[in-house]
Amino acid sequence: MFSLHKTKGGVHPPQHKDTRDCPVQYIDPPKKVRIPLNMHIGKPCEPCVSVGDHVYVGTLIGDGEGLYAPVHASISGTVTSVAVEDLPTGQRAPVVEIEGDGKMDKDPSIKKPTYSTKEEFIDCVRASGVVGLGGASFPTWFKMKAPAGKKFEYLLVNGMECEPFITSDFRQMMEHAGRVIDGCKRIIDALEIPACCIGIEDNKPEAIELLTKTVEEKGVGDKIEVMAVPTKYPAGGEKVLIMELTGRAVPAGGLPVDAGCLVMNVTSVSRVEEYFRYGEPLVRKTITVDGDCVKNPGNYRVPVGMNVRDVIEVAGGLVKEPRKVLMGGPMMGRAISSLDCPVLKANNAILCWDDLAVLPEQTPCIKCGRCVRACPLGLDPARLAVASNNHDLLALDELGVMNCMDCGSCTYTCPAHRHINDAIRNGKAFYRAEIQRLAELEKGGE
Amino acid sequence: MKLIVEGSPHFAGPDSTRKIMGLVCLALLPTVIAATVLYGLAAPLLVLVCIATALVCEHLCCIAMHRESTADDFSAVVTAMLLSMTLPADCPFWAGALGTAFAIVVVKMLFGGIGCNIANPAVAGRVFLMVALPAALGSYPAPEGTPLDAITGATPLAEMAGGAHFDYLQLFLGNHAGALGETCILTLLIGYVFLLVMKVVDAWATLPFIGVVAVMSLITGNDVVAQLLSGGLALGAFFMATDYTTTPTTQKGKIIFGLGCGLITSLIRFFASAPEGVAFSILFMNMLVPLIDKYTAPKPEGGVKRALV
Repeated sequence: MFSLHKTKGGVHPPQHKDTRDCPVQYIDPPKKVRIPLNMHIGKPCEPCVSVGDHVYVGTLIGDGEGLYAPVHASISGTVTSVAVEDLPTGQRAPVVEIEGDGKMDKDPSIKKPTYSTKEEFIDCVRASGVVGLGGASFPTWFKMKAPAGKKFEYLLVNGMECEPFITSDFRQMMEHAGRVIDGCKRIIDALEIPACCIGIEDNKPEAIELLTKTVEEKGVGDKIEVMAVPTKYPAGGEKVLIMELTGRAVPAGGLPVDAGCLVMNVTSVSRVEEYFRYGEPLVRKTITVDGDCVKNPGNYRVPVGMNVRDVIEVAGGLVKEPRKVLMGGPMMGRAISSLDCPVLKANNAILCWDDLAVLPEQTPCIKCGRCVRACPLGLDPARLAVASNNHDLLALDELGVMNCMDCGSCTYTCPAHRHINDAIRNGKAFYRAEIQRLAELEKGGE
Repeated sequence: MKLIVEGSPHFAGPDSTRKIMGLVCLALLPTVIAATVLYGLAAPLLVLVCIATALVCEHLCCIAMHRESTADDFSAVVTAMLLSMTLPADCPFWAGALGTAFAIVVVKMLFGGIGCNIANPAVAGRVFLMVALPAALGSYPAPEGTPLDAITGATPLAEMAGGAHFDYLQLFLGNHAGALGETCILTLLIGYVFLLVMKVVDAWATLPFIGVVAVMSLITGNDVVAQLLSGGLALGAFFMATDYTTTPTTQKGKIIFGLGCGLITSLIRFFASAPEGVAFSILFMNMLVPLIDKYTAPKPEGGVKRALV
């Protein structure tokens, strides 16, 4: 059904997949969690609990409308605070704090969801609270809704995990292969998608073999195919994956559905299936804890909202003081300013670094063109960075600044260690604000 | 606990400007050794004088410009080495130093330093000396103790214009009169292949450059092999048409750049009064780089959704 297609650019950072053989460990519930209500792309949820309320695991604590994903309590206990806070990730969001009772009682109202139509299925996925768990955190239910006149031809399941260090998706595939395949089958059946392809980087041969075998055992080989994709960062970027597996380019400003694709992270698929099997919404997350400062690197299943400091404690604590702590991988992860930071739904790693913390000094651009060759989307990062720094709106528009997906390949490959990605990120924010301002001006002028 | 907070990515690749420039210096070393063998100790001394001048000039410019010194990134060394290689071994040291100072101060630093120059400093420095001090660069010494009939004074290209023929092997080994770093094709090739293997340079400009000269030699009835093996073609095509800052960034752009260099070199060699045109061709094409870059810009996947226009 599927074949591999050529993609542009990409880089080969060192892999550091040292935790690949660390099975997921379940941990004792923390005493306290702080759950932000903006763990998805879209509007933050409104809190629907107040201080003093008793909550169970899976109790709805934040709901909204439009583009959003509901948020649930991840431990049982009492709500001790509901307030807007600044998080060490640099974001500001309403946060619900829950003091645990240590019981981890499941919400008695939870039951196995049932559906008979596509719409009901999508409603169930919404209720599960699942978002894109590869890191993008786009509400899963929302992307399952194909706009009028468009339809999904393929479900592409992203098991690439091209970020260095992270192995949580790999562990998911190794430990829950059946659930992943069942999830794929359920989604393509419910949404009437003709074919599904699971793309896995060829540095994970065990996962490729296991999933291929599982597909055969379940007799779904006529609809689901497992593809080994050459290891290259960012082969797991959504647009890159679509290009790799279908040869199609997502039109600028469009969504995967414009290329006929629904793309889901392999863990998202697994969690959707888990919800349909047991009715428990997304309240726990498997996280790779690694880096030279961590005593026992490994994969840990932790409640959403657990403090990074507590997670590190669970992983044996620190052997030395880190100079940089990342939530996510080295290429796209976020450096946090303090360990008092809650784990979010889409987090898949916590990296505590001393040895890798300091990056080389920036020197002048020598126009070597490496960033142009490294860009998987065919952009000109060097010129975009200059246009961003100069606030050159017209150039940003012409060069397609909004196409950039922040993969960081340009900065990684730059011999002058220019902060190209940083500049373009600022350029995007500037561009977005200016275009909005111009639109408002135009409206006001009428 | 104070944590470093900065934007992603948090990994830096293995390359650095200093490493790249260092590798280029290393790639030029065999040719300096060949020049020492061919033309005696004057050759490496001239190279050293140019390097020292370049470092001092770059450092002083940085001080004058109130910025951190870039003298230690090896780029000035590359410029000095390349420039000295285009000079005859008996070129007076002061002339070499003057050319280098012009290359660094006027061509490189006045335009903003590394990465900002619009012309290749080494090439521009060489052309400056050709125009300003034609006497100093007028004659080329023959290799020392050459067992062959010594070819003195005129370079093979100049001789060829007079209808002379040459032993290809001697041309390849550089055993004839010429600039100290231009004659030994063998060592230049070794250096270039080294840079190709280290992925510092590519062949997208080099091959069209040499290809066009070959085709034009054929069309004009010249000795193709001798044309390719003499003059500054190898040095120019291997080391100057592959400079990052003064050549296009895309594959397509590099091919256009190479074709243009080849064409202009051929026009000068075969139809103009000067025997050699490599330096002028590179300098001329340097000026076209912004234009070439504009029309060979990469095409974004999925197009661009424009909000303005």
